[in-house]
Amino acid sequence: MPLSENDLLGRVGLTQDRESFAKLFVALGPRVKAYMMKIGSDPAFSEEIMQETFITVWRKAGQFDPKKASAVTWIFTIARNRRIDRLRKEKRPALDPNDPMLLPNDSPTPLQNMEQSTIVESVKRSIGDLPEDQREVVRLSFIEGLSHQEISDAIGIPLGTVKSRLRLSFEKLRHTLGDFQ
Amino acid sequence: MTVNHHPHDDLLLSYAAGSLSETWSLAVASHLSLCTECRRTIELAETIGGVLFADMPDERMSSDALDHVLAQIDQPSGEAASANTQLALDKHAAVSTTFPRVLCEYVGQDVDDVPWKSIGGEVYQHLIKTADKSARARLLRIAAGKTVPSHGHRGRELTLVLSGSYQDGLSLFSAGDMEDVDEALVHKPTADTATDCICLVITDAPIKFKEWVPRLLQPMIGI
Repeated sequence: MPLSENDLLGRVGLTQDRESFAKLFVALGPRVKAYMMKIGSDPAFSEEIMQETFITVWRKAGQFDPKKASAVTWIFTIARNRRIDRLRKEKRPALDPNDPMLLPNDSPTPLQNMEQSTIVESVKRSIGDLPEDQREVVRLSFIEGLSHQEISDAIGIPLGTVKSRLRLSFEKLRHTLGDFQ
Repeated sequence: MTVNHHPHDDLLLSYAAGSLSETWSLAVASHLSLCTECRRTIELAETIGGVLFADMPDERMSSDALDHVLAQIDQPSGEAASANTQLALDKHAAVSTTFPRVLCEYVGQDVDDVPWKSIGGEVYQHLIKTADKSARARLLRIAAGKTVPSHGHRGRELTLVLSGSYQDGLSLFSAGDMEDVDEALVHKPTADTATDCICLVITDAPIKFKEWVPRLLQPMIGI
């Protein structure tokens, strides 16, 4: 059986295994490039940001924690940050995971005790079950990277409706996960 | 630290999607540094991104992409330099008990080194420079037991308590809490009597004071 993306990324993090990295790149590079193409950048520029994303993946793989995110989600966040940094002129204030202010979690939430694969399956099902209008707003936000105001302008619905569709879909997701608690 | 007040989901979702502008992200990231619960929420929201991302049709990479990336990872990176920055930050972090690191990049480490400007009534502020014009960020320091004049809002206002606490007659806000209010609310926050209350405040429109004196001062103090 071929290794999963989680296993491959785990190996890159633990032993800087180039072969695992190459497999991960071949598997997910085309997806990252597609994600970069979504913001209207031309293929050459998308290719460039995609490659930069994977150089960051290589360098940061040691920080990947399979208990906190699946490999695909983790790579999505690296790609997301890279896309913002290359396209926006402003800074991108982000949580510093090494900030000593981050207290260790005193009481683990039910989610923390849940396997990532279980969470991912629930999220998939929950997104699949959304009405089309809600799923579209979620997609525009996460994949096209549009702000809520931009979504409102793009599909011609009031800002309040954008926010309520997002809120509803997130509530459903939480509810789905709540079923596991 | 028990955090009881959180930003609304729309901000957390935007942050996770990568579509939140700098000023609002500064507030969300600062809150996340203090709030385990919202960090979990972000991880869950990022999973939505991961699932939608996984579902996208692939885009063909250039034929030499792998060779190119493998050659790149052999290059010495900026890691050494960034490790030094990390060390420098670690040193400072030991003494910054008030500001999360993400905020230190904007206001420094020490509360007493912030160039506070009085806005009257033993309330002080420091405007924070950000590149996006969608909102304005400031630090607010309310001396122990003092009150910010009663005000309403033309837009949204986020207040993250960094140290001390304040109450507005209905609720108590302590370190880590974020009050997320819209134009409907008129309030008059009062710092508790033990210590100064230091907050990060984000507003997307000028606030409206109910009393005439601050209203006259408003153009000068930039609130």
